[in-house]
Amino acid sequence: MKALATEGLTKRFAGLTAVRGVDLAIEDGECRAIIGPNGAGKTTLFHLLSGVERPTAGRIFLGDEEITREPAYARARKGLGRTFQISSLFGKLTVEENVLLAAQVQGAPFAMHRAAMAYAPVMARVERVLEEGGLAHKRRVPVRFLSHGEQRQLELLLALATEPRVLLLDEPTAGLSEAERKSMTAHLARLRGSTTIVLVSHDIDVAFALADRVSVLHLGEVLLEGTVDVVRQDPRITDIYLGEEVEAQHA
Amino acid sequence: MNTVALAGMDALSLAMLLFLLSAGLSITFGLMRIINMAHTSFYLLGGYVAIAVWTQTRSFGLAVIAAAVSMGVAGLLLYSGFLRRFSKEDELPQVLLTFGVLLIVADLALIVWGGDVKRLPPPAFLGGAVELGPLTYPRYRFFLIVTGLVMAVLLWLFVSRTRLGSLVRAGVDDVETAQSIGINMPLVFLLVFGFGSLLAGLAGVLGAPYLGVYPGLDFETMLLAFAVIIVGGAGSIEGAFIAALLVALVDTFTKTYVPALGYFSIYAPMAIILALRPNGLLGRGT
Amino acid sequence: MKGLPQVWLDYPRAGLMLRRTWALPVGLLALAVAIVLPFFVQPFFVDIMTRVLVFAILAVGLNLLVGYAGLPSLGQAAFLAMGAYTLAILVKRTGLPALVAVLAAIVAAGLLGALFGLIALRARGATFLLITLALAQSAWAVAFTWRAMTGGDDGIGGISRPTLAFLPWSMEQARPYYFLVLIVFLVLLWGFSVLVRSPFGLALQGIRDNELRMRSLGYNTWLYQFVAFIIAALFGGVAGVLRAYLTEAVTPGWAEVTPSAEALLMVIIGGPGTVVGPLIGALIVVPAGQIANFFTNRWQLVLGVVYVLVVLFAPGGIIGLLRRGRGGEELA
Repeated sequence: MKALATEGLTKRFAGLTAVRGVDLAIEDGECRAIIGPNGAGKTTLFHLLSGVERPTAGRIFLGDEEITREPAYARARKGLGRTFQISSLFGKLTVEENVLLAAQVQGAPFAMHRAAMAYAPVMARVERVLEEGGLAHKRRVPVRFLSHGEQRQLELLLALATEPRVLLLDEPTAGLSEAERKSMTAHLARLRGSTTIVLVSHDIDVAFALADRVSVLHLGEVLLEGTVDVVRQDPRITDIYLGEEVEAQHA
Repeated sequence: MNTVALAGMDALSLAMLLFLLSAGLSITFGLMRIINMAHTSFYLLGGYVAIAVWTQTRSFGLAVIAAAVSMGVAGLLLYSGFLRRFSKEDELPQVLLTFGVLLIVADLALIVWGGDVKRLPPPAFLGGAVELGPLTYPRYRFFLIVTGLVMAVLLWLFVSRTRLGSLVRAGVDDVETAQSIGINMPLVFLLVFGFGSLLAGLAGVLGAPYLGVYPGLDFETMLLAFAVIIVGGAGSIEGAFIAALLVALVDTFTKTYVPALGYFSIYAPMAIILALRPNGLLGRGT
Repeated sequence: MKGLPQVWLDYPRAGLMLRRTWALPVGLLALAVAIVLPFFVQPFFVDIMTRVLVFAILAVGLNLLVGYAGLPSLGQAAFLAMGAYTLAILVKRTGLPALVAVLAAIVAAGLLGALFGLIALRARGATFLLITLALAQSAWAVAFTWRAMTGGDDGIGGISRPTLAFLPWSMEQARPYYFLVLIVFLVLLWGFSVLVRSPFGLALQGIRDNELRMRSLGYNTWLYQFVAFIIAALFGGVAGVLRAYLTEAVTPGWAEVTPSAEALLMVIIGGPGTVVGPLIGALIVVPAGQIANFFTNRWQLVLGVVYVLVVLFAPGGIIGLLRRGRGGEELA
């Protein structure tokens, strides 16, 4: 039983097949990077996995449960967490409340008679997440006063606070400064082994630094797949990325 | 059989009026995400202005022109004076502000013109009845149907075949992109809003001989117009046309045969459409 | 929800205003005035105070939708009318004891809220608003045309207030009834403040601020909005019952767009997304309406002008103006 698996996953838009017959099998605790040049279908694949898009064909499995037809929120309830490339936070609420919203999902989110902050086990989880994420000192700050890097960090913490079985990361280091990228990569590295991670990244260095295995997408298909070392040395990598550079030069 | 045919013809007349009224609202909503709650105020005022002009000049043609033009201008003023400041995101303030305008106009109209039902006599050549096969039908209502169909075709041609029409369609699809390729969207917005108001005024004057003009007409028509938008989808002339037909047919037939259900009749199509296609039949521009 | 002006969202999240230093003394003072004033004024004026509280209850319910769930609704008056008419019909035409009739009326309003929610929640934003408006207008149409049930244009009259035998005061008098309504209001306000601080309330605000993210966290956002609708409708039903007893009659005008618009205005003027904002709104709008109706027939005109002015100059309401004056956002 794989943590996350797909069979023949396909997505066709009018006239364009963005993802074609993708088979993935990701083990428990594995960190899988999905890379590929622009237009390879990474984003579409990500949307298919997270539930934002419905596949034209194929199936998706979370553990031993098929989730192909499940809406996004149901997948999240079953343990599929995700982050957003552009931080998607609750801007008017505080850092603490943002994490609380994530942390309380599994518990009693329909309770109307007690204050949300009165649930000790949930608040303990919130505290833990804030500590590990280094944002505990800013817990009462409204999110819109955070720096960009801090917001990206909180973005990740929200997904982690739901204690997902599988975590989908959408370009986790996009738009970060050098220092922030190091910090984020370090944090993600600490998660390896305990959480199954699937990350989509345009930044090959980050992908290779974090991943156990890499799937390379090209024109909607899995071109090659293997451990970091194997993929890194495959000449086809430079081809497809170099091809992209050449195109950019001619454009 | 005759009753059915007559009801059907009445439904068509109503449909054409509704279409004229809603076409502007649909494009405005689809393009600018503005819900103009005062749109039917233009309809009401169009009728009153027409009657006032007719009382002075006894000319139906002048009344029609006056109503349409004055409402077009009013629309331009409303948009440039009050609505332009709101961005696409501020849907609620626009609604509330235009709702305020709706209330203001409704009360002012009551003050100026009083509470009676006013009628605008159609011109002589449109009076009387016309023979349509086995049916005798009021000529004016037949004129409404024909005019409505002609206007529908003209509008459709305009939107799909002219350059300005394609700018509008581009805007309905994606305002930011349209703007970024150099289309002067603010100007397009202004013109579209003005034109939509003009159509509402036109519908008002054309409807006056048939339905009359009276306080509360704006609220009554508002419900039907919004039903058309919801069913037909925003930003689509074809959608507004089909929806107007649907709404008018359902409304007329239930009022004829099952009067008790009158006000609910439009909810059936509306609820069904919403359940199956939340964007309306042919809606675009989310 | 897209469409709430930026400044509306500039409010601290759930929480009684009582947490802020100036709010507690003001609140206590207001409560003192509320308790003492009825003994110094005419019964007619006491009735106006009762009316303010009734509309405050209506507006608090609406605020759950508008301010906390981000769903602007123009249909709140329909729930008031549903509660009022159900009560009137049950009281006048059946032998049901008052308490049963009251409960049934509130439940009926809640059911109507469920129906509205099922239909309106298919859409968002301005379309949502339109649908609530359309639904409300049909509610009015029912009240107006179904003569057999609702008395049509005339409405239903002669509803006498219940006799609470365990109390030495008759509810027929203005002052005792006022205190009854005051107690109901305070209980509901307290309940509301607990609600908005609860996990449910926090989730609603999350949905308001970023529905997509809430869904990706695992929340069934539709269900939350649906429940919020029902709660808002229940508040409306209570307001309807209380108003029916206040005026001892009910007319179809109660379900019109204008009272819905007034309720929305109360929420906006007071400040959406706050617990007591609607009360402040009611304190302003209700007496203003009474005064305007007394001097002129032009309340609709006045209301329209106020709407335009508030949107143009004070979209965050009174509380928004106060907060901006004090230097902006408050940290808890």
